[in-house]
This record gives sequence, structure tokens and C-alpha cells, in this order.
Amino acid sequence: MALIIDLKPEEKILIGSAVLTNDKQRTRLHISGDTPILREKDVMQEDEATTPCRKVYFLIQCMYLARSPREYHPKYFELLKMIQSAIPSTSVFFSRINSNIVQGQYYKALRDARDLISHEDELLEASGISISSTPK
Amino acid sequence: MTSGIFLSTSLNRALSKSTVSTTADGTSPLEARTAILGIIKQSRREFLEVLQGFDGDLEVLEVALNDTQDVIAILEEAGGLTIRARNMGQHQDGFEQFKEQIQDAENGFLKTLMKLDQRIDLSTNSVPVNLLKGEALVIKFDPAGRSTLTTQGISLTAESLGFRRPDFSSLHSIQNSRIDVANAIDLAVTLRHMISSDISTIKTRREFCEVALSFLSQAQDSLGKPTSFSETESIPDLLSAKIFADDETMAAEGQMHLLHKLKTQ
Repeated sequence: MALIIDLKPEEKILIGSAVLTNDKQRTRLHISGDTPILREKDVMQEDEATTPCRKVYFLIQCMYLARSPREYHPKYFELLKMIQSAIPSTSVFFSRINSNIVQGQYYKALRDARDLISHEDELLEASGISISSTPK
Repeated sequence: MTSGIFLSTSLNRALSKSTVSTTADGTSPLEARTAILGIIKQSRREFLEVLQGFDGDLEVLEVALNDTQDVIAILEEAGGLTIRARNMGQHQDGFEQFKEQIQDAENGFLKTLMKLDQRIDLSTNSVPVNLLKGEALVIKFDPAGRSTLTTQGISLTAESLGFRRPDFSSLHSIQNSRIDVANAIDLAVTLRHMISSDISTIKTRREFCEVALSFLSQAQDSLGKPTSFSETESIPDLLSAKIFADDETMAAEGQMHLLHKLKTQ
């Protein structure tokens, strides 16, 4: 079944290793096949990965785009170890993220990583740490 | 005992989405801790099941890779016989002069085809799926089998490969056998590439699964013990911890380049 994506005017989307930029009207794309797809709004740049859980999101995003995701595994696990030791409740999110990574479902893993970031944000807020400078 | 768990709305949502049946509903930190432990135990079981499957799948793939290598060697041996026969036949009156040797080459060619079939039959005894007989191996990445990778084998028996009966009585008919061998080698090499690629995929995922499983065990141990720490107290230390070297970028050049292209202007 094809994936249907509605693009806003001038919105960008990454499909495989190409970036498509929509023109000035809305567009609907029907995409079949097995290739990385990332919408502009879901993309995190490295300088936006300002907290440990945002770094997790960024690394999963890199795995998704990489031909050989394995190169990101050591950094990812290094980060997971630190986060899980400090915040054991994150293991719930990591178990889902890891299950999706094993299945090669990086898009779903990214969705779970967003929940992880929300958990971290709430924790930061409860700890009185300002997160205004950390983009979502 | 305190829970230490920070019960965020995201965590509550994650716990309520879980299919794990627990007596706790995650409405208090202590109940959340019990629910988290339930999820971890379930995940561990699932990872272990997937890992066990990988072991059997890897055995099938590695046997098939080894067998395909042997098949290629047998086919090359057959190809060598056609070249020897052709070289003798190319001499003036070669077919008359080297009649016996050419006949030996033809017989040898037939024997190698039989050897080929015997070699392929051998694997059937050792593994449940024989990729060299065109069978398919379905590799599960989750216990329910929702996410799978199928390695579709290619039948490499002499009959399936479409070998014509060898006839080394003329250069033209020898050439037919050479073409059959070349086509067969192409198919065997294709299968070898497919198997190698799938072995690499499974090994990477197995390695990931093993590490993920060890972290689940650590989490289970840590959550199973009484604790006096609080997640709200430990987050500042986590934020200030040095995770990667200052000059180290997380993304490799290829991914960095792609992400830059997506940067909002």
C-alpha cells in the first residue's frame, strides 16, 4: 500500500537520498517502496540535539538515513546507558525504540523517540530546568 | 521504599498503550514502577525469542553460502572441461585426433552435473530450508512475525538451471555447454550475493538485539532494587555529563549532507 503524504506549499521532504521541495501549491504524493522518508517538520539538525534524549532522536534519524546504520550503534548505546542509569523510567521508551530498530522500522522508532523527548521535557520542567532553548 | 520514578503524562500514556497485563495501571509512581518492570520482562522475552530465531536463520544462511561457494566451484570445474574440449577441437582434425580425450571431457562434464545435484541434496539433510533448491527462508524480526525478511532461494540443480545434455562432438555444441555453465554461474553468484547481504543484515540486528537485551536486564535489576534516588534529582547530572567529545559530531558526512539540504532557509 502506498504511503500518502500531503505537502504544504514550499515544504521539503527527504525521499531516499533526494530532497524534494514542493512548489507554491499543496501537493499529494503517493509513495511506494522501502526507502527513508522524512518530512521537514520531523527533521532534527545536530545543533538542535541539545539534550540527551534529543541526541537519541538525532542518532536514530542518522541510522534511518544511513546505508549502514551499524556505525551509529555504539554512540546510541553509550547514550542509552547514561540516560537509562539516570532515568530508569526511560527503559519503557527504549524497549519500544529498540524493538522498532531491530525490525528496521526507523520511522516508528523516531515516533517513540518523540515520546521519550516529551518525557524528558516534563522531567526537566519538574526539576526547574529551563527548556526554552531546546527545540522540540 | 520510594519509587524514584517520575510519572510524566508521556510515561503514563506509554504505560497505558502497553499490551502487558499488570495489576498496576501506572496511576502512582510505585504502580508505574511495577508496570515498567512488567514491560521490561515482556520485552526481554520477545528479544530472546527473536535472538533464538536469528541463530537458526544464520545457520541456514551460512550453510547455504558455503554450499553456493561449492556449487560455483563445481560449475567452474564443468566450465574448465568445456574449455579443454574446445581447445582440443580447435586443432586441425582435433575431433579425430583427440577423440578419446574429448569423450572423457564430455563424460567428466556429465559427472560434474551429477556432483552438483548431490552437493545440493546434501544441505537438505542438515538445515530445514534449502535455499539452493529454491526454497525461501522467512526471518522474523518480532515474535509475531509482523516484520520479516525473506531470502528467496534459487534452485541450482542441473535440471532447474536448464543444462542441455552435453554433446562435445562439435565446437558449436561444446559452446552450448559453455553458455549453460556461464548462465549457471551467474545465477549462483547472484544467490551468493543475496545470502551474504542477508547474513550481514541479520548479524547487525542480532548484535543490536544482544546489546538491547543486556540494557533491559540492567534496567530490570535497577528497578527491582529499593532506591532512595529520584529521577528529578538525577536529571541535572545527566544534562551536565559529557556524553561525546567536544569536537565530535554525531552524524557521518553522508547523513550530515542530507540533513543540511533539509534545513529550513
